[in-house]
Amino acid sequence: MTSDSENSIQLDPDGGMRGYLSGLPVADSSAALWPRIERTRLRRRRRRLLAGSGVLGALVLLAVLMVRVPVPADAPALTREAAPVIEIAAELRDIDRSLQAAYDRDASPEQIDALWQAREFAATQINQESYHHDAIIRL
Amino acid sequence: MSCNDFAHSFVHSAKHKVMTTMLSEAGFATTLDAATLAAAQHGNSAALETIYRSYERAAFGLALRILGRPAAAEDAVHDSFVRAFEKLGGYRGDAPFGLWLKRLLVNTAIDQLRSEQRWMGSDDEIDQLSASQSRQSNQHEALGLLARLPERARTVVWLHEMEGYSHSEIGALFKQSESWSKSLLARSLERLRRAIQEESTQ
Repeated sequence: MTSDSENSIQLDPDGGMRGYLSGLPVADSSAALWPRIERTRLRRRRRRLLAGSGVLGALVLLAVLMVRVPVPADAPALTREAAPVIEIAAELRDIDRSLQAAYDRDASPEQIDALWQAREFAATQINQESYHHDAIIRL
Repeated sequence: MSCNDFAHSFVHSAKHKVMTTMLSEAGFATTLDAATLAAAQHGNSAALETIYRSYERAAFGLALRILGRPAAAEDAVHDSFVRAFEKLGGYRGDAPFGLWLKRLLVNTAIDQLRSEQRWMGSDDEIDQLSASQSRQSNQHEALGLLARLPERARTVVWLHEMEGYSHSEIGALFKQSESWSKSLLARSLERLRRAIQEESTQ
């Protein structure tokens, strides 16, 4: 504590201390604080988006499977054809978990990009399988 | 005007706005213009940074006076701005933005103190005044004589004397009564006055 500031201390005329307190030196935070806030904000936003997309994806998949199961004539074929879809969906969930963990541990952008690419590939596959499956049902 | 046009024009004017708001040095009383707020509510990074630059110094100063340590004060400012930005969509302007942010920061800082158990809830806190002098070397000079007070007493003095908090508000923040706040403030100020007089006679 600097003695200069304390040696010049004076009370307010009414005996208060507002004059002294308002004369205290101004403090500045470090320049690194804003980038830290921005990083946290973006990381939390991505996490919320990821959680939202994961829930949405699971709901869509569930809806697709529920709509297709009750067709009695195609039931055996559906079971066989739905298997790859279910496997890819499980793979998608694994990738989502890996992405979540990567964001949590502040993984490098390269690692996160690789996971997003894997996710896009899996999502494309699941779309193709669904299209193929639809074609079988139409036939 | 599309969202992109809006953001583009905002970025061009943001730098100027940052400079003017920084120069005003109005602390939490700095007013936030509607365009900046609207852009920030859309998640525009430049607008969010403008808000941060407008209030960063006031926020850090207040957090430092409550928490007493620069690193802890930065943590509180960090958490408060992150929360404020996440809640920005729900901000309707019922209270001035600076006041809204200040309340968020005070609650965050006091929660932080509480979680660190930096006070034990004793009514004898003011008696620690002289004993706490040895802690001064670790304190930021912006604390001045406040560094000689225990955390809770220091916070009550600063909130009441400088931030305009009433005794009932302070009591509610600490889950204590209004008279507790009055008593702690009176005793803290008296001890600070005596410390000043001792300094001047030495």
